[in-house]
Amino acid sequence: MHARHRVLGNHRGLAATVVTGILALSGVTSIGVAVAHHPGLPQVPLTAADSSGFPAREVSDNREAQLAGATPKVVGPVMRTSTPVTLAIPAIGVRSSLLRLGQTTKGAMQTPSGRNYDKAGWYRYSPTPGSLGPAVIAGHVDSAKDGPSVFFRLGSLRRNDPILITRADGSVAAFTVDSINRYAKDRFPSKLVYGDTNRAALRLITCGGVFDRGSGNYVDNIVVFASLLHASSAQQPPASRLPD
Amino acid sequence: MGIHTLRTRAPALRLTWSSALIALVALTGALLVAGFALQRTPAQAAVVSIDQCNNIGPGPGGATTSMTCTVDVVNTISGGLRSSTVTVTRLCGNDPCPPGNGTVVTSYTDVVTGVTQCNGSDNDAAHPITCTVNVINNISADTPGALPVTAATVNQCVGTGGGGGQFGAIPPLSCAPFPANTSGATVVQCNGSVTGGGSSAVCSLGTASTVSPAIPIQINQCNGTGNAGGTLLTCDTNITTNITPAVVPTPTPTGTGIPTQAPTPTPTDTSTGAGSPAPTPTETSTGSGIGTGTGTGTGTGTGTGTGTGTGIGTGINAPQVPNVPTGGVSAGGGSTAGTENFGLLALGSGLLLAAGISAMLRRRVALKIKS
Repeated sequence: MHARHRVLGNHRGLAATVVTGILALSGVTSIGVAVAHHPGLPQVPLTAADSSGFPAREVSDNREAQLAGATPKVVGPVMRTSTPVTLAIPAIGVRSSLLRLGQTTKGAMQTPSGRNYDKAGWYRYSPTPGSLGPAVIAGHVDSAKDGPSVFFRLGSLRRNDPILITRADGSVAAFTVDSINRYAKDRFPSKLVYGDTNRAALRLITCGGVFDRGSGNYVDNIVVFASLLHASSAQQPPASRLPD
Repeated sequence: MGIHTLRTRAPALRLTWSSALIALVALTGALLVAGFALQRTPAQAAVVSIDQCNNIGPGPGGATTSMTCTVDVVNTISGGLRSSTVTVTRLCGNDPCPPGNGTVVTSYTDVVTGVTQCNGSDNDAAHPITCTVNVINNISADTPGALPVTAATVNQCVGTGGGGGQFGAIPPLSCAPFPANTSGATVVQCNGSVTGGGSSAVCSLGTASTVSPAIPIQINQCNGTGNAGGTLLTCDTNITTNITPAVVPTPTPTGTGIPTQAPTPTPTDTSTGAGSPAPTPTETSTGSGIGTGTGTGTGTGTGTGTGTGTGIGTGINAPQVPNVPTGGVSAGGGSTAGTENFGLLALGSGLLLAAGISAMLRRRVALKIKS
């Protein structure tokens, strides 16, 4: 009787050990998959906004910051108005067609949604890229469903990186990065970003900083300031070279 | 004979009077119409219409293989001056759109009030058709009829689709807004189109599209088009109307106001002098003498001058971004912050916890058996 009880005990012990091992292995596997598939955090610029909402270090190095609110003569190349069609940022592998963004009913800027979620969009109340003033383009940094989006690496841009925008008239506006800054959304410097400039300027906007799970939003915005460096003229392609 | 003459002339006389009466009525009517037309003409804008990609059919090389047509219009009314810049892009495969494929930019001295494109076209073969109209109206606030700015109206997707099936995964009708059957609408598009099987229409008017009475624009596109079956018709219209502050130039004269001609003084005092030597009479009663003298005089003069100046006013200019959005931009969903893996992490942790509990129970059972 005692020997039988011991045999049963050994069998139960073996089963418990197997169950424990399976549970432990499954747990470790689940955590491993979760960690391995995490795409990393969005890139953020080296400088961040201070409590005033303005960049702590780069403001003196930011041409646009010095020009906002002033009305000196126009400097640099300026192109005629033409709707932007595509955006390319070779340094971070971005290439996107451009949507037209308006405003929400609350007056905020629209952002790409639905099947166009991963595209960038031109704020249609801003100047067209290449013409005088601050052209504004926004894009998502990521999505809850699909991970990194079009501007995931925007914060890793560096000064003088090129940004190319093809326009409806066939011309290409070539910008270079002046600075990259991070601002708290509740202290967003609208005048600095949307204010008049004395040049053909560009702003690329996305999210950054800490993700607030309560509100489902990032608390900061990443803003890239750029200026037009070169404007290629519109060329009418010969009909024979157009795809049918 | 005389009776005959009378009978033949009397009808002729009546005919003449009736003809004259009819002519008079017609002339009066014509003058009224002409006067009405002349009265209305000054209030109407000269019509600038853009027409392209209409009635495109098969060419010498066979059926059409593609059609993409875009019109971008920027209308400007400022300080009473009207102008527009129009960028059109045409791409009609196998039968080039007259006057040819490519992109053309044209400036006009008036605003564009009509765009007609992609109507009655491409009904011969199945392929995607894409037509887009973008209009930006910039109207200074001092323009008569600039306000009110109202939402653009649309009549679209009426009598469209219905051929059975759809193009890929796209529903037969993806129209926004829908239904939209306003009569006399600003935008009339995608009506009586893609009636063949396996076709879909994706048509929209930008949700923020607005118009002003100062520029009564009318858009007609994509009507009676793409009916061959197996066609994807995509037609979009966006109309943005910006009311800009009136420009009030403040001239700054460049002239100095300094007379360019020096005044010429005119003495007001005549010279006086005393001759020397004074003539001395001779003993005779006659004598003569010559005297010379010097005199000094002072004079004052006044001059007037005029200066003209021209200046470029630096008045109130419209902001480069007229509608500044509020707050920051919500451009992230948070997956890369770890939210999408939260469930998997929780599952793993739970499994490890269960494994730990299982191990503890195993140990307790083993100790019990041993004791």
